[in-house]
Amino acid sequence: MISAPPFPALFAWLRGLSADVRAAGRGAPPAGAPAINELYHSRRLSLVRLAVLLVDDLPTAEDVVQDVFTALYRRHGPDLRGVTDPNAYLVTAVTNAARSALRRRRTARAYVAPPPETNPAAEDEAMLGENDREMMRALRGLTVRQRQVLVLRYWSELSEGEIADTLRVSRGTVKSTAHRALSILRERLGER
Amino acid sequence: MTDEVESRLRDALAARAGQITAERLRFEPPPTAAAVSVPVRRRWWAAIAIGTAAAGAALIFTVLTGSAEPAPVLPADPGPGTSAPAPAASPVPTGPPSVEASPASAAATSSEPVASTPTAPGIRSKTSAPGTGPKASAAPGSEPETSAPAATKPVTAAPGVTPAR
Repeated sequence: MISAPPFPALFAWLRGLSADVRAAGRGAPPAGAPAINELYHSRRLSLVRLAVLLVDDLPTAEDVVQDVFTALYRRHGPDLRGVTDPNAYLVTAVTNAARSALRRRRTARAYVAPPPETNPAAEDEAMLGENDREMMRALRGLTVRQRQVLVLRYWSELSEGEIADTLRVSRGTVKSTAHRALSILRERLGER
Repeated sequence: MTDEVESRLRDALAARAGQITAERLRFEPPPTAAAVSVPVRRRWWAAIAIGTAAAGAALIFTVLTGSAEPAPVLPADPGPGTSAPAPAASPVPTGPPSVEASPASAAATSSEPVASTPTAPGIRSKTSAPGTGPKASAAPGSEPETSAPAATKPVTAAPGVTPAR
């Protein structure tokens, strides 16, 4: 005869632990996980592109996107409970993570020489036309906030209100930042 | 002029983003598969840490209680348990009682003070001579015989036995 366990909570925890170990050993996701996995497979490429436009190099962009999805899963679970608009959440998270990456890179550049992979690859530069390369170089000279506003506006095609919500600033700030950034681009491109 | 810069910017961003294709992306597991392994590892480490802490606490508790128990037990052990080391180890503190207790058996130690004080000479002769023989085996089993009233009566009856002899 099997008697009842004296510590039911402990036994339940051990059962969950063994179940997680089995799931990890199989490499299969736990039950009820397709929501975030579908979002990952459908949105990963566009988010990596957005991150590349913000941080220039592909490896950093992939790291940013992967960290964002991992944080989303840990915070909201596989079913994305409590997330009303996952796409907007992801765009905001990628923008903030890219900003953090650029900040870390700027801090590191103050002490050590920049690693070669932080710039676009040579073949990527060669594949672009002269006008595009010139524009990307000018874009790299903007501040992080100005670059975010321009990328979200002219590549993600977000409105001023959406950009304001994404960056958590006012619409007036978005408008003035975009105006200032375009003026800088105009000056730099006109000089050449 | 503004429209030209905006269009150039839009084209440049689209061209740069178009360079990133799905084939160029490295393989990354989905977040459910990538994030499970870390908590499991953490939980295993937590289980190991909790188990180690529990074992350490149990060890400390055992050591503390084990060191506290022998202190009262050790003085009690030489009295009833080992009769041989007790007289050798404690002749100085208990001089007079040990002399009377040493001839008696170990089982009769509790009744010795009662029986010895009233009839010291009679019991000595009685318990020494026949007690070593068959009465020594019967005495431990029957404690009431060694009690004060029972022990004194056979002594008084002993003179009655001698006339029968």
